Amino acid sequence: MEPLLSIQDLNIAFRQGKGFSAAASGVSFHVMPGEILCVVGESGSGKSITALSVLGLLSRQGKVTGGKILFEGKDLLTLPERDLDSIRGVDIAMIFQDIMYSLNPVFTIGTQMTEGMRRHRGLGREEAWREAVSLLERTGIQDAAQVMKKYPHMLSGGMRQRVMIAMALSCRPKLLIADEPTTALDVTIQYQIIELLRSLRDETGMSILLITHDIGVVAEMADRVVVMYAGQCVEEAPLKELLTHPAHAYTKALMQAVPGLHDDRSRLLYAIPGRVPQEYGAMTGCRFAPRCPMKADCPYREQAAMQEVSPGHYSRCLVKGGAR
Amino acid sequence: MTGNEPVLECRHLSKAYRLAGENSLSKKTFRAVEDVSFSVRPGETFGIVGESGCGKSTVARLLMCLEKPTQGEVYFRGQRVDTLPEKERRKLRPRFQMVFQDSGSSLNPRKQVRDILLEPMRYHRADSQPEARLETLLSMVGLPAEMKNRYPHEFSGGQRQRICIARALSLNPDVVVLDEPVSALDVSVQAQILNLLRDLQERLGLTYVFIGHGLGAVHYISHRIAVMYRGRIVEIGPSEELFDHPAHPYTKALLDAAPAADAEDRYRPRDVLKGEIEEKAPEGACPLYHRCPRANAECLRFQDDMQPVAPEHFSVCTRAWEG
Repeated sequence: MEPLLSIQDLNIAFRQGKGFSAAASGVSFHVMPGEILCVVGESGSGKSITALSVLGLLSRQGKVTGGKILFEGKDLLTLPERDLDSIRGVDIAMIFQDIMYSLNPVFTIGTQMTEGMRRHRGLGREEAWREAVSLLERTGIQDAAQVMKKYPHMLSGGMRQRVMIAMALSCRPKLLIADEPTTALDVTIQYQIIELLRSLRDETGMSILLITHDIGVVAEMADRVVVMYAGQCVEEAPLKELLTHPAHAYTKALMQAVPGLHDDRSRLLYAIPGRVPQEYGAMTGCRFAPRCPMKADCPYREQAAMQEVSPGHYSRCLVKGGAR
Repeated sequence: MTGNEPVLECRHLSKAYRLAGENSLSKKTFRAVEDVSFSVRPGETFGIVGESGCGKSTVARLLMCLEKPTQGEVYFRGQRVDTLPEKERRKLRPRFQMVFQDSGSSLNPRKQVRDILLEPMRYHRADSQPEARLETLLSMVGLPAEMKNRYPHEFSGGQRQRICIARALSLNPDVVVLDEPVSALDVSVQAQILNLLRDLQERLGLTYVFIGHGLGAVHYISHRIAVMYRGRIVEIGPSEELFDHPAHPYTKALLDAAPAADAEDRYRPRDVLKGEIEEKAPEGACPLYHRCPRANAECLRFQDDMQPVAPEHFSVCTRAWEG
């Protein structure tokens, strides 16, 4: 099977003063049809930038300096803006973390829900309205017909995210990009949204590219996982393999830094020293090395290329042992 | 200091706000906190968890006397503080301090770190050698002394939170109220701050009230935890006991909803809450009635009395334990 989305050796730089500084270097991964791929990383890892670049939504400060983004075989980076418009929001839809600002405050939910369907699918006003109501119902909104007449500020955070999801689904996308879709929500609502996204994938067969910082959300959602650190993919594996046999020292450290609900409280939590580097364009070798607990006798310090650990499992680091 | 007498205590604390948008004669109110009572023992960390809007931050502000309670009392070492005249309370201030979630907006951007840390000491004429104290404080929170001449914007979020902690400690407090101190931080930095807080508590014998919504973090740092829902404490108990054997269906649903990276099976059976926190339950019913997976007809007549369910463990409801 051909991948639906394939990102190859993507480089993104951001303007900084007179020059550019790297925000993503050599990022490569793919999303298969019907698959949920999670990209996990801390702030500054380049995960959101990569997702935004797929839809050509980088701000003016940012620039793709190399690589390819293939969607159904077409390179989105060389596609004319017109053709991109017929993919954006139609074949590829996106939902954002920022539920406050992702909806236009001066239009009703109904107006915003139907806009895309009328434009891209040529539906009439009433037809689009009916379909919008059924989409809202499908995302678990009870009095959908009432919600259609409301303005965004009248809805709670969880409701707004449901509206965003319904809107994203309105043109039946093949790929849904979700950038931290549950980060602003409370945990009980977060679980409702996770369940909703999972069941929508099962029903529609769309692919989901989910960006998150929360390894817990990854465990709930992902089929496959890409771990990013300082603008690079550092590990890639099927979910279970990653959770049970993480290879990269960063992945191990990240998992141990999360306090569990039933941990022994008397044990000290493992904390990764220092912070994610802000400038990493000039770094050579392993970018995690300065913070790595295993750096003392690490063979990957100078040269850290992706290697196959087991089928489908790749890592830049194969150091045995871990944070503890 | 006498043995196990509570450092901080609140009794039947309630806070109602007038609803925005209503005219000034309107009596419509939003009850943010209702009848909250607990006491915090010396040297312990008392955690408060709940979802946004449950009133946990309001409780923090009431404890710090930053808001006046509509009803109820706050005691600091046996002395009632919420009715104390501001002048008197100011003398007690050095002994209970607070750290906020947003370190960016709680530090004055025009002041250097040294002035931020020296200000409380100057105001309270606390230390004869403030400069030496300044360096001790910085090293206590793990910042190099050279950084004292920098401005807040030159620091990362984690470092800024360290400065806020140093400021709270500058006057040798007994109690520090921490309102979501790690919620805005990255996972790796969050662990650093949690460990720092634990270390400081051990070394200085501090008492903490830790407010949070990250269940793992609250469990890790707290000795006892109170769970809040719609302004009330619904369950309270020792951390391990509460998380391993939650009695209240809300606590159970909260724990079940938390995604866990070590989860063997994402389709494990769990209690899921319906709807959202904003929706109101029928009059007289349990506030969780319409969302609770274990609600039955009895829940329409609601008794909100805390019952002891295990040693030190109290809950309004024990339906989470029923089959």
